Amino acid sequence: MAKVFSNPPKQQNTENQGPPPTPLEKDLRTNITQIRNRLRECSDIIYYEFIDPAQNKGLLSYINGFVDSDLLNRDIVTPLLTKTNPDKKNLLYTSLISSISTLEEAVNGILEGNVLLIMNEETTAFLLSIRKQVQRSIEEPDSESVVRGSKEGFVESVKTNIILLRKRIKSPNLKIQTLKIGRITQTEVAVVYIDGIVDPDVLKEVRRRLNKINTDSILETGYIEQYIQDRKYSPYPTIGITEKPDVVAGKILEGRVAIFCDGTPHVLTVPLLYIENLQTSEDYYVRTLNASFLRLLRLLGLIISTLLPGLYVALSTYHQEMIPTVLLISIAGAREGVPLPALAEALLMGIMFELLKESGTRLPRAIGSAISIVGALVIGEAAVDAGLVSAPLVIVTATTAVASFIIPPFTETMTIFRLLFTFLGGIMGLIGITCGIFLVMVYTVSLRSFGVPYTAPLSPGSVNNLKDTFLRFPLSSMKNRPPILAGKNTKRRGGK
Amino acid sequence: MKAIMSARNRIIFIVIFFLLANSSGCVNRREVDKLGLLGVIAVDHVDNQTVVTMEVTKPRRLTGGGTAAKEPYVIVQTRGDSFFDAVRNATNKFDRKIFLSTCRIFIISETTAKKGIAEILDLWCRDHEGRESDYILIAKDTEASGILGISGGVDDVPSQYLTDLIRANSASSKSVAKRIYDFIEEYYSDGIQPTLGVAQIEKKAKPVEKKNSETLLEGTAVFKKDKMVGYLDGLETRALNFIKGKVKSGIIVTPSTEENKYDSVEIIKAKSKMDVSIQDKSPLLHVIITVNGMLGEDQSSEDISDLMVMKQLEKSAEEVVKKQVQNVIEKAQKEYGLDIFGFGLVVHRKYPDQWKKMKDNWDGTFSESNIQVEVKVNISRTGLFRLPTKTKMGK
Repeated sequence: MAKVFSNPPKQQNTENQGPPPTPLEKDLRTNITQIRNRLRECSDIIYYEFIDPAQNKGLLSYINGFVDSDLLNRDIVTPLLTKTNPDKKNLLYTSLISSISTLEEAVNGILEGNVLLIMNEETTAFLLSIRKQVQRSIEEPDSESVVRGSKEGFVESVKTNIILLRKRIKSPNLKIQTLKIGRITQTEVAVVYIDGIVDPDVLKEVRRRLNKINTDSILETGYIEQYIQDRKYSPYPTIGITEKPDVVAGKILEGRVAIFCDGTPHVLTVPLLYIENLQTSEDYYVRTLNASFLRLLRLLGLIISTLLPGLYVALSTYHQEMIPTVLLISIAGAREGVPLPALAEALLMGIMFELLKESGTRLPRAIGSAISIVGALVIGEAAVDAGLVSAPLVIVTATTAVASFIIPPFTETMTIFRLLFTFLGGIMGLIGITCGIFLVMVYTVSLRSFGVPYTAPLSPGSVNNLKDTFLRFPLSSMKNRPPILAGKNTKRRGGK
Repeated sequence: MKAIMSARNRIIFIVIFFLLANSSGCVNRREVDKLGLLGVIAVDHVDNQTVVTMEVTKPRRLTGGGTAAKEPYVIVQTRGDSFFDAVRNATNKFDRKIFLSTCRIFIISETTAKKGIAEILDLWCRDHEGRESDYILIAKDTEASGILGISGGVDDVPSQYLTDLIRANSASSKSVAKRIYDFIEEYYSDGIQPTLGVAQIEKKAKPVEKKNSETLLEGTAVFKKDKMVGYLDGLETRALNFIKGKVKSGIIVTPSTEENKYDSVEIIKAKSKMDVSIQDKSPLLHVIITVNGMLGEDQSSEDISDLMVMKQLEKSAEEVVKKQVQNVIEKAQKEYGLDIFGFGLVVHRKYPDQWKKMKDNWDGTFSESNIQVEVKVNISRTGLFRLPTKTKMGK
């Protein structure tokens, strides 16, 4: 593990450092000209020049519609026009005020939605943050709906998202570090962790990889994910994604690092373990037995979803003697007159289902139901009636489809493996499937997520850490945090 | 992290891995609907040639579209110099390759069985498709092929009918349900001679419509090693099952105190204990049979609420069972001279040293041995009635 972290992290993001900054001039006119020059052909920027009661000239500049105009008029324009105080900081009715001295800061400030205030004869300007909140309301995320637990979901604003997290963890140890990535987009990215729990090595590695990103734009955490993930061509996700603040809270409390990004409700958590894909936030909210049952159900879903079509093809074309006689007669009867071999039939149905799934996702909701009717009729009824596919295979495909949605993070992964195993089962029978399982296992255990073995705590295994894997033990018995994630401070209960 | 293998080596590794895995066995791809699903196989011998009659199931379509075949099976008959030859010759006249794994019943004709069946079962044990878990039956008074195609039951497919029949038979215990591996086990054991179930065709006592034949599954075929020597009838078979502790259920009919009236005791549970003691170098065999039963039918008007009457009833049931058991032992000793009960196994377990001297001539020793039979019948219930149906009113 040491080798991975051998490079010392660079503290500064070198990509954002352009030419040396230009200081503001004393003359207001020059400043205005320079700002206008930099922001030329931007018709949405307002330049409001005024003269205060002390006959000083000044400028307020902001993006039209980005700031709250009521607040601007009441708390900034009114005092500026009616009162005199050489110290403008004590004059204005806002606390979100910061002083700047360079032209670049001034321009970026405007672009970020602040109000720029420059007075004549002064080389220090002010940025007033009275931004209007342009965002949708906090809703329950569609992709992670729950029965029990918080219904809040992240929104597209990183500030709001961090507030949602702060609401849950009221600790000074909750650390938030922001940086800007993307030469053009200047996207705000926040690295969030809990000091004292987080593994410093992982944190260093996250910073190192974030600083290495060299791109002009970051529009979604998916960009970041692809830049910082461990293996580019892996079918497995090695970075966790969630839209729920309580999930992020749970994960960083176990020692993980969360990466927020402005403009998306999806938050990344690293490192990701294999077993995490089988866990949901609800597992910890419901009672132990129910949670453990659901865990096992998901494991079953994982096995069914990856192996069922492959096993069906393998058994029905190579190992008929393994099928109970009565079932074999049924399958043989159903397959009578079907023109395609079982392998082609299974692949065809698998692809048909993926088509349906994809078109169902992309279609506007109003037409979506049409697809499901057509799909159900064409695949379920007509194809079987016409003798193009056999009924057992439709059942196999349907069972697989149902099972594949039980583990959302793995849906895509399982699709790839399912096709692989169907193919192997079709050309080599159970031998192929066994070999496939062997190779997939070898590959899986070789993966690492930010230096942490992907399959921990199963391999490298330790009995004590299995309390939160296939079974979810009572919370009171999970006295320690997963040691593979949390550096030194592993005690969950009792003293420090 | 440094990669252990280059991408090219990795691909080569995977290819070699799959090739090696595949080279270990034969892979034979065939679609399910191209198999001839064998249900029952019957073996006869005609003019030194083996005649094989096979019932192949016609798979019925599960869904709409095709209609169910009127007869959901086909009978294929082929002949060949050897059993395997005959089976394979089916490809000359039948459009599917026969798939042996789905076979459930193996029927051998009486004449073939008398010549020895080990050579026939060899194929089933040697071939990867044949299954030793098939039920095996001897066709009595008929060619083995005659049993095929008769379905006197609910199921249309004779193989299914026969399988269910064999399983249902435990309710009367008048037959033995033997699979091929059971036979092989007994065949290779010293101290027991194999016995097999028997199937025969029976005409209905009172003709009904057109179908008059049924398969009767009753009795046992007695073997000396792999050669059949004779039969036991239904009651004798039950007595055999009593001794071997294989009785699951059945009815013990005992004469009641009144003339021509019978009481029936339903067997709920039967146990047996076989024991042996060696005195003066000759074994004294001992079998204790304990039967738990229930009064199932009472044709007389005895007062069964009287404990003495019940004791009397138990006693007469004991005598009936004891007589049947002694009868079958006598038949085994005198008529066949074969230990079909497995007393030899008991001797082997208890006196391993003496057994070594005895085992070569065990059947002879057995025939001369004294066998003590002890039967204990315990009637614990009288059904839903406490009194006989024919109780006089006011009594």
